[in-house]
Amino acid sequence: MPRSLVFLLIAIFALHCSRTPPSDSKKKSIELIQSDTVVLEQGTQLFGKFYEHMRISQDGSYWLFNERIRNQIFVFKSDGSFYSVIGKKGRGPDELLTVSSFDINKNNEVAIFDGSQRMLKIFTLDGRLISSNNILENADFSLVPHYLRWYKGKLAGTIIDLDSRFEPYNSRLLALINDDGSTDAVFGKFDRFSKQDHRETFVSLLAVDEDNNVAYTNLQSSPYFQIYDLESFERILYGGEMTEAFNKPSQVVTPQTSLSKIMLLVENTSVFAHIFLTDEYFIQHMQILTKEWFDTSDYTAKENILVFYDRETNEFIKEVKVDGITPLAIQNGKMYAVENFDPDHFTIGIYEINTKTE
Amino acid sequence: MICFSGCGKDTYAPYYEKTANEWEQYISEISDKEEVSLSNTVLLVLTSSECTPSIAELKNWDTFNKESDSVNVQMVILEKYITTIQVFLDYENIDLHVYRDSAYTLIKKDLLPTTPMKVYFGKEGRVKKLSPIGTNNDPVKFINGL
Repeated sequence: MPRSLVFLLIAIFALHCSRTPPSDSKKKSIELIQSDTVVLEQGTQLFGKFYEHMRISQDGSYWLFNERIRNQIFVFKSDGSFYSVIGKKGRGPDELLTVSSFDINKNNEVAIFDGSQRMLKIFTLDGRLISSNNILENADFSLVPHYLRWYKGKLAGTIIDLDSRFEPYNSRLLALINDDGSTDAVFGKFDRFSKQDHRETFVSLLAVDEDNNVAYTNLQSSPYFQIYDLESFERILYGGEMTEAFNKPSQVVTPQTSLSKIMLLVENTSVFAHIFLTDEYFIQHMQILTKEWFDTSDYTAKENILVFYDRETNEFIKEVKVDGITPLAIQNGKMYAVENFDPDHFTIGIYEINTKTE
Repeated sequence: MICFSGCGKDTYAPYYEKTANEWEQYISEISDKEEVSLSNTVLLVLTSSECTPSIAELKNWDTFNKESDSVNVQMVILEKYITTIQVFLDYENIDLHVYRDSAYTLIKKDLLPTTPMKVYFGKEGRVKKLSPIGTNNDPVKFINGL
């Protein structure tokens, strides 16, 4: 049921920005105002768990989620009603083994990268196969999971060079893939922050502005971001800053570290879960891995912070803490966030991002 | 194979020292005080969203459990929501008995270094063998220590 502009529980506060000199852009006040709450309907095919990723059709009327157990894309209408399931298990043309990443374009075509089969499959929203092609044949890089974005008929993805897995800072960063699966271009430089980070992270988040031909990337463990020109493949900016809430582990965490020790080492440290673009802002979604989250496994117990940068000046504006919700997507000035992860009551809140200049 | 058997015990050495009592207390905790004996039991410990090789091995264990009179196979799934587990079991068509660890207690108690893993408890209820799930998917070879 739509709710009329209910002021959110979200405390809007700029965490003390003492590390940054004041500037005009910091006089902006950013408010998140809840405009709707939608519970997703369990359809004829039950969903059990979604990855924390959501893609939205351009007009906002279809919502897509990657189901973790079934490895299929679940499509819902914006009122929460079940619409379709894309893909079924198997190795056939319209079948999938793993949904590594996916995206929807302006024509409502859904691209799915099946990492297990190394195939790029394109479907209609109702699950009809448009094309199925091999991808990354003889490639010297891997696409990282979850970050594939349509860009003018091609697909942009963040990557890791195969020979840089243990020294990711030597890797290139981005690839453009044609819709037939062939590689168009590989470019960019991995975030050098990975050299000083204590986590062996090689996932770079990606957001693409198709109209302005730019891609923003952000290493999952890094407070810094990069902007690339998607026509010249040149880097426009290495920007961002270590904001107040950012905290990295004090000791090295490796894949060999036991989970119980990892829990201790990463408690209260930050990771970046998403990056978003609006006309005005570049927004990092930072999560703090709280003790409460480790104690309860309640996803909403992670602390979520949105870090706002001005897209015109690239200056840091403020950190905004959002309580009890997990942002998944921002489109057309609206933020979509999970309020309840229980598959029987999976709830998305919709929030308007309002700016006031003080 | 030789390397696998030989290396496994060293890598997981601290976890072979966990006592039957520690494990049974843990199962009791996550199952609402159910009294269990882990004697001659294989516990498959995983999350609800494991990768394809692990799922293939689970199905082998499911088949093995239906045919075995001497060894009991059960699962521990680290997952908050019951529906998530139900969808998992239905979708993968697995009939094994499941204990749900909704708060990742197993990790906090440091009973295993990671997931997905399988643990074989011998006749005395002590940990007899540990191994990742998805790397050696033949139940008979695992049980017989091959």
